[in-house]
Amino acid sequence: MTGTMARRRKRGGMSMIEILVGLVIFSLAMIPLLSFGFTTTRGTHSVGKHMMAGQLAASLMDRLLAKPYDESLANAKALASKGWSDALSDSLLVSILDHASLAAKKSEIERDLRKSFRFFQTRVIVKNASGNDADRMFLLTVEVSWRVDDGSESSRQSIDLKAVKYREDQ
Amino acid sequence: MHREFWRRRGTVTVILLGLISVIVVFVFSLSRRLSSHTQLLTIGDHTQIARYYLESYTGDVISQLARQANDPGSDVYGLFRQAGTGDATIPSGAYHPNPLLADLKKELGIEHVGAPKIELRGQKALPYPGIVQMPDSLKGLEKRGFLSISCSIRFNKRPYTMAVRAPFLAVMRMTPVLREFVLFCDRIHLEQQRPFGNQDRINLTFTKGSEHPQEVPANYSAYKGQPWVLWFTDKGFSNKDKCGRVFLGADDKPIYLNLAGEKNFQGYMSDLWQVFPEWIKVNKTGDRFQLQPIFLDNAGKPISLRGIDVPLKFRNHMAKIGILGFCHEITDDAEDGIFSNSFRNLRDIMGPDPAFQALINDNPQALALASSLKLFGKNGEQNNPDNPYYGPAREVFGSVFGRFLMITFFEYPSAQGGGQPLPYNANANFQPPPFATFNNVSEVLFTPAEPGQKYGDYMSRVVSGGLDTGGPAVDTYLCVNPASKKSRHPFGFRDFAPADGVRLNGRFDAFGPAWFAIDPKKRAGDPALSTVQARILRTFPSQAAFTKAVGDGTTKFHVDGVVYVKGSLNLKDITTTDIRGGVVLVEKDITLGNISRGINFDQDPVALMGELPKKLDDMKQEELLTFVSLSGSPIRLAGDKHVGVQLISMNEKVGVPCDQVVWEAVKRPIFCGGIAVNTPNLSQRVREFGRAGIEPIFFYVPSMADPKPSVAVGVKSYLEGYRLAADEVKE
Repeated sequence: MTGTMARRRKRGGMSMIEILVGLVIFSLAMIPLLSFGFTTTRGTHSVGKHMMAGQLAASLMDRLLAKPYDESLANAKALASKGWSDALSDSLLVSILDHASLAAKKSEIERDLRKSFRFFQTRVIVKNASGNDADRMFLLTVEVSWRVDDGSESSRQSIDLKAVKYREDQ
Repeated sequence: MHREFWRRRGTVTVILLGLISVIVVFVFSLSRRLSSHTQLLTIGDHTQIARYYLESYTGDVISQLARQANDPGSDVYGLFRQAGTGDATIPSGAYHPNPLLADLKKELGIEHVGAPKIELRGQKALPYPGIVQMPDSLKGLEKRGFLSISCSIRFNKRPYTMAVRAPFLAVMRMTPVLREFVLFCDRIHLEQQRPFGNQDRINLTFTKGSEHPQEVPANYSAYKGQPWVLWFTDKGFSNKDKCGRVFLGADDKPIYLNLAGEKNFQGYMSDLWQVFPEWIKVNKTGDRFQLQPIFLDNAGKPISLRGIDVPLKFRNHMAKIGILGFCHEITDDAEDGIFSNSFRNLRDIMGPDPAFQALINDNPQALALASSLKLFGKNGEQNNPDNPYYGPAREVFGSVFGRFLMITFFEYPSAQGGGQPLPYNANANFQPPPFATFNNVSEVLFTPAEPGQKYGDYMSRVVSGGLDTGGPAVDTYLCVNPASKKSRHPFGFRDFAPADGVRLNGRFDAFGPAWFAIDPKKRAGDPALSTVQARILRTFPSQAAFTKAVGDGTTKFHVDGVVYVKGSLNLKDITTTDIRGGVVLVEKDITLGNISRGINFDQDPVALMGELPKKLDDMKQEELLTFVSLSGSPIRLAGDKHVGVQLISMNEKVGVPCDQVVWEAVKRPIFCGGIAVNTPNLSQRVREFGRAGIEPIFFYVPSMADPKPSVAVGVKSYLEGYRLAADEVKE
């Protein structure tokens, strides 16, 4: 009797089926988790790109607004005439973004920029004022788009900033 | 056994439930994290959008106020110009969003929270150099301060407010002190190192048209000159504040102007009306000068001159005093001259007067040379010589003396030859020997009318000669100030009292160096400076930038304040009537085309001379332009019509006469405004004017002397005190 009970206790561990069922359940539970984790990671990456896009747009906008009116208008029109262009393939854009203080680490920064701004595109739109204001101000729109999914062109998102530039000497 | 089985099953369930709970919590926290990332990103984007909108909004406010600041019809025009430096609130009605901004607002779904709050704050009066004494009424008229602007919006239910400060500067549109002058030459004494001969380069205009009449000396053979004639508008004629003052310096250097004469003193070119009979000391009865016989020629025919008869002590004894201006008719070689048919000779009559001798020593033809500056226009007495005429009210500052010749004949009954000349004598108390009567029947003595009078008071001499300041006739030094006929003291800086109340604490010739000093180490608009440098509103790197900003002169020309142009400035014709005035400081050379302001200068000259003065009388100070060559290099006038313009070319290093304003056009110059230079270099200007064959026309613009100077306001485009808050900014 005692021996029989002891044998039965030995056989009291989880059976293979139980383990398999548990693993299946666990796997099923992990799938959405991993999926969500993957989505989250991609989302974080996307957030980073979004922030970069915002900074790129703001930087370009600030540079254009900081220039004297005529120069700003000329640069903006030159950029506008190109439509969408790759952020780092446009020499005018690069020259606008270029800064002397970065010269020392230029190559390193350029490498980082190429990596970071891969698939980034920019567009500038100029809208002239009408009537008496025609030569006094213009509406400047800076738009930056990026691929949320690096492999998919259809995943593009964009951000645009708008500001009015006024002539200084009126 | 059944219970054991269920106990084992519960373990798996608990484990699974635990895992699922952990997963749910994990997912929830990840979801929250991702959601907050997205939210932060959205807020960041919205803040960027709001920031650029607010910058556009405040930029629009500044842009509109900058334009309204110089628009007399706007709400804010007076606020920028009110006396004192206290804070002021700009009414909300002064600003309306421009259509571009309104469209952007609609597109972005932004809502304005109230009107922008705009105030003028931190105002401080601009300082002045020590030489300028500003009246209390004008203190704070020129000032600096800032526009404090606060704009609030609501965007996606979040409030955003931006507060900025835009500095502004309010400055006079014209140069104080100098704007009171139609002609200001603070070193013209360099052109008269010696008031005679070849070193006198002020008195060099022949009075007979533009060409010397006959037998000219070799050095005058090609000479065609016209004097610099200052005319008057109706408004300016009788008002000393509206006719433009003249300064001929340096302050302590005497300047002698040969007054032009003609045989017929009623000629257009004669200046003899400027000699007032009140200035003749022995003219106790106050008689007027008249054309009357002074002596007889060889045929016994009376020679009439502008003169007076002064009774002497004895009955029928009189001194016949005549005055002569500089003209060809008094030279020895004048065939139709005053003395050509007389055994009298001007040399004898003037005697040993050192001034006369000096005049004729270098060149006898010098007696035919009058001043090249006709400060009071042409002879205004010409059409009505019998009525008293004291001329226009123009004030002439500096030690400026009118030089003319006075000849006196002693006439008594049975005088030989109709009277005996009283020549110059260095001894004022000289008693001439008795004069013989006709046929030597008897003798008479020249005896003054009153005991205190001397021979020197009557004798023939060069008045304001330039040599006898310490001699017997010092009381006959006559300064050129028709408005001050009862006073003989020259006008100095202490007499300078324009209508705006500005006074000088020092010499006129110290003003230019004090006001136009540019310190290259200091920036334009430096508040620590008291010079024009502190008043510069805008600096243009080139002429192109300047014309781009102010206009090319065909449709508009808006200077609005004091501006600085680097390099040279070469402007074509400014034909528009849409001109807003100011001072254009130029680093190097200036070349100007015409500045015609829509006036048709091709019309009939009579009609033009009817229209032009009226236009000048109506012209406002806001419209007047000043061009300043800071280097003192020549301002070249490629055009010859300049209306409402002041030209200033001064450099304290000038030590010899030099060209500072040059007329390159060959037509008749018409210049309306003012000119301020160290030296006009008259010998060159007279030749330039002579090319036209007719005298030039210079007018002052009466509004240059307005009691309240016109002020322009410049609002800087850069911002100070930039603050952005996702909430209302608390001041």
